[in-house]
Amino acid sequence: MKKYIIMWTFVLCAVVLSACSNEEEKTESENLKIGIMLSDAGLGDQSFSDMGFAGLEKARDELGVSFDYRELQDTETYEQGLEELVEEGNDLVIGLGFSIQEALETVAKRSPDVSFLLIDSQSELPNVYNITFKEDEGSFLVGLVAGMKTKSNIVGFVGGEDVELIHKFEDGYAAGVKAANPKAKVISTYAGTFGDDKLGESIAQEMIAAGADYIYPAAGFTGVGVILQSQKAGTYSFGVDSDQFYLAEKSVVSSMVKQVDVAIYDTVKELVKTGAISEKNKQLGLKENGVAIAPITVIKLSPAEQKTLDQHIEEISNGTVTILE
Amino acid sequence: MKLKQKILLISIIPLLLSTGIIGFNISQLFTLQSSTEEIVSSLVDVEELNSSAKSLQKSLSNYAFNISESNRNEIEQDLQAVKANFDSLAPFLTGKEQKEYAKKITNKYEQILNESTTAVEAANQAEIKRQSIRTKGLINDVIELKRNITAQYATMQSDLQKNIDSIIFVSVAAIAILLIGCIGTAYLLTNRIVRRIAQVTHNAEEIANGNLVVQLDDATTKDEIGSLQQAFKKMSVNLRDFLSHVQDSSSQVAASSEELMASADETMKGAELISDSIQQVSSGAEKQSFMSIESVQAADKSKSYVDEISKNANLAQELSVSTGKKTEQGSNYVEVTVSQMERINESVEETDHALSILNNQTKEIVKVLSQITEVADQTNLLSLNASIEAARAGEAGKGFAVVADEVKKLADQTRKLVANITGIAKQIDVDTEKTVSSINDVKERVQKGLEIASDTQTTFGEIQKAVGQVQTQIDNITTISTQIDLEVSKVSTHAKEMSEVSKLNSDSSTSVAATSEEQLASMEEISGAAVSLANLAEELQVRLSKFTI
Repeated sequence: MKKYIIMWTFVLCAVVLSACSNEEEKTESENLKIGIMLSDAGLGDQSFSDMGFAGLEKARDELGVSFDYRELQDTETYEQGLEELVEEGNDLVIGLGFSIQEALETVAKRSPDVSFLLIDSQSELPNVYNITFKEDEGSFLVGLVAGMKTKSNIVGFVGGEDVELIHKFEDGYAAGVKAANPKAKVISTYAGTFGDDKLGESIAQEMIAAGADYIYPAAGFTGVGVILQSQKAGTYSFGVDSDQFYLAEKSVVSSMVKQVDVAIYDTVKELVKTGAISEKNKQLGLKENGVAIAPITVIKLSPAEQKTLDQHIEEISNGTVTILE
Repeated sequence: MKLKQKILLISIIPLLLSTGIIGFNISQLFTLQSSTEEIVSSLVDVEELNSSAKSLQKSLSNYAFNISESNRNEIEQDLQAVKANFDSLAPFLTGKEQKEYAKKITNKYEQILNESTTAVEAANQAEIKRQSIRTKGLINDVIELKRNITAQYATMQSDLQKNIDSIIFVSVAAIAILLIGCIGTAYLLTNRIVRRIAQVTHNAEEIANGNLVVQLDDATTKDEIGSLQQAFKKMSVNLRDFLSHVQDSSSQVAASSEELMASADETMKGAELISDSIQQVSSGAEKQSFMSIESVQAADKSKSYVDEISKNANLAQELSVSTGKKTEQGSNYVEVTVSQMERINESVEETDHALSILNNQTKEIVKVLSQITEVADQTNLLSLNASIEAARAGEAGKGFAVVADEVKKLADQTRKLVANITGIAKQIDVDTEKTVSSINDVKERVQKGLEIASDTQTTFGEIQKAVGQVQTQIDNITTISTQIDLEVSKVSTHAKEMSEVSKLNSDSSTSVAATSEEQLASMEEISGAAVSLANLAEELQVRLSKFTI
């Protein structure tokens, strides 16, 4: 009888052991996570922020990355927003616009393990990647159109703040105007702010009074005032950063488009495919599809004028011509 | 331990173990099912939230492009749809991440709701356009939430697969181990049992072949097989004893069966006789039953007649009562008639009396009249004398002569008048005579009438007496008919009972007949059995000779 008891004890133990042996292990496919700190007006500015957002939307839909964003209206300061994005565990944190640089560097120093991407400015920190645009190239093409089409031979430029980046716009624009029409004169004003459309309106009014028939603002929301005032006065204007034709459909001839969306999408794509960003400082011009001139509307270019424009685009893209040294 | 307990143990242990395994599997499956259901529903909800948010973005954009009432309504509808979808999703969200997304979505939705409502009120196209783009931020959170839930779902799916795999593994392993255990135990146990049973079988075969002197072992274990061995040994010893007894008995049986055969034959004959008699009894009982049924029918018919009589008697009684009443009425009328007649008689007597007075007076009148006639005659005579004297007196007497003449005339008139009255009196007399005779007639008739009335009254009295007698007779009839009815009922009941009894009689006699037939058949069988018994006893003796005792 003992034989049976021993045997059944063995059977019982075997059953219990086999029941307990299934262990559970968890595997989780980790998506690349990206955070973006939008620039001043935030989502819906129909400019920088929207384009940055659009680039990440595309990356989200096509590359399967996740992203989150912060706006100044919620976080009060850029630093706070960036800090939150780091704390969220994003693999890459993007700062949009040159004005964010200082805050981004502060946060980047505190979090050396996180990669940052700074758009529109350059930082020397090792964990910060930079993307800048050759605004001079795009602005040159805008100047070219203004120079070719001005009747009064006076064209205007309105800058936001008097900083180096905006000077690139102005210089490129002036060079373009000169290349097309050496007789034409460029009058420039700096508003000192990117956020005052009323000021933009009054500056535009003065310029139009001084005879300017084409004005190119590179002044954010201040520039919107410029464009709207131009439409009111029946003169022409150019958009900046994104295609601003829809702002004033009777006045905006074209826009100097900074393809922030394309730049961000391409960078994220590179990060997803290769696991790293190859270049620390990227400068994107016409060739890299970083800047472009939006389709000409409102007025028409003659075939000769169109040809001149195309020729310049090609030369710049080829790298045979550089606008600023 | 007993064999029975061992076998029970072998079957119960694996049964219990497999029940445990099945229970474990079922509980696992239930957990899997419930968790999957929840997450699938939240997946559907988040997808709906996503599409409604997209639709909101589009309708805001449409309104910014074209301010119209319908576009505005669409915004409101989409705002509500987003809220509704989110509310239905919210309870399913679990974990810190999902809760955080929910919080973000709520905040952004509140912002968009407030700002876009204000902008729509103010028809601020630029602001609405801005809100449309800002909706993309909400959509991004929804998409992230969706991915989170999808990932959770995927994890759950893989967990599910793992759980199912482990359930399958556990089940297969447990079943395999159980199988090996059961087969091993069963093999060992059956081997032991079979070995010992084979020994008993061998011994049994020896005994079957007639070898009752085979040597048998004593029991080796205390279980059922041990008992079997013990019992088998006892059996073979007993069998040996028994067979020698049987040999003796069988020869006795042979002799007895012969005797039995003879007595069975006699019994059979007796039984046949009984069967015949009982069949007669049975047919008599049937006849009796039939007749008693007829009695019942006749009694029923009588009862109906008696009822009829009773009914008629009641009718007659009613009639005689009304006759009695009518007779009394007649008698009363006759009495009234008699009193009326007596009064008439009295009146007639009075009239008669009056008439006789009248007659006398008439006679007096005639007497007076004759006297008056005499007076008149004398007067006439006097007048004659006077006239004669007057004539004598001559002239002097002339006046007188006139008076005498007048007197004579008066006397003559008187005489004439008297003659008239006398005539009338005579007529009265004649009439009175006639009246008297008429009254006498009346008197006679009244007398006769009275006699007749008295006769009538007597007759009515007799009628009344007779009616009284009739009533008494009718009462008697009713009483009698009631009694008859009672008796008939009794007769009917008794007849029914008798019918039943006789039916029972008939039935029992039939069954007795059948039984006696059966008895007869049994006797035949007994007789047959006795024959075969005799044969068997013979055969038994032959077979017993085979055994070595």
